[in-house]
Amino acid sequence: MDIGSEFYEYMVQDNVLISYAGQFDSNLLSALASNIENNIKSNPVIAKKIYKIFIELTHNISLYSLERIVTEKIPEGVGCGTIILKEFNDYYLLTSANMASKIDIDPIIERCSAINSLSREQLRDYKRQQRKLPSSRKGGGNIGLIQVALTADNPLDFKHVTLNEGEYFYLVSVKINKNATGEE
Amino acid sequence: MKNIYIEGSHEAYFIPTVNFNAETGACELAGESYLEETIKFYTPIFNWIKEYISTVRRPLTFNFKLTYFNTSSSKCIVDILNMLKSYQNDAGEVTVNWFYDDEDEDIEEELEEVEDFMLETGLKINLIPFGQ
Repeated sequence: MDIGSEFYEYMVQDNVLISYAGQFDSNLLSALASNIENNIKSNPVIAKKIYKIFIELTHNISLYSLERIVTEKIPEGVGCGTIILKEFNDYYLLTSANMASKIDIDPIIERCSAINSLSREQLRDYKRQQRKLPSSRKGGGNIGLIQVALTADNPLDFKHVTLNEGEYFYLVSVKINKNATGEE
Repeated sequence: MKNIYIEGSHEAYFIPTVNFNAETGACELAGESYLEETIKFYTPIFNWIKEYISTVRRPLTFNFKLTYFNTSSSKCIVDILNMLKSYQNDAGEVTVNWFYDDEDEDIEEELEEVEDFMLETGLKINLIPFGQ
């Protein structure tokens, strides 16, 4: 397959609405987030859900990605990663991916497994318990992924690949059903 | 004791409007809360509440009129509610109102979150539709 066909298959047949890889700069993220609202005008409830999930996933990348661009203004660096929004017949799929260190990947895997094993009520209880804990070493609230699962009302699909000693590539995907109304 | 007023804005990050009045004890947090440094933003707000509780000790009315807040901000909201709860336990008069848009089709999740705030802090929060 030539590169043009491959690109067509990836971008058009797979219905990619947003695909971005690079530095998670706040101005650029804000522009992408506005783009979500413009892309999904027909269903404001779904657009709001995707928007909320987008903010939590991209905030995680800004805070935790091992790959960082350090500038004089931002000595702790800005996280780099990937965010992709695709549209399918019955759902949207939001995927985020980034590099992570050993110290960050273990709690993330543990949290994702716990999230997927719980009912909605149990998940709310888990969120309340986790929210009581002190903020993470990067200032995060510990509950972003729990909120992602609650907002989507779907489990998290998470995978990680070991790259080198202590370095991982980590990916999380979540479906947002088109028939979701926010009501249980 | 000084009042706090911070004008809200919606740019790369979203700053909520903060309007705390030390004379009347009426405090409002409105708009959207998604901040670059959440704890840094909320620390003066925590300090204001601590000072009011320890020196002024008059009734406090908290009106939350937030249309969006991320999870880091929700943690700070819980911290505020916990401070108000301990003031109430210490004979302080506290009223907390949460205003919501009853025409928003996705309101279930926000109401669920307010219920979680009550369960988490033990503080009663009055739910009031916007426009009332």
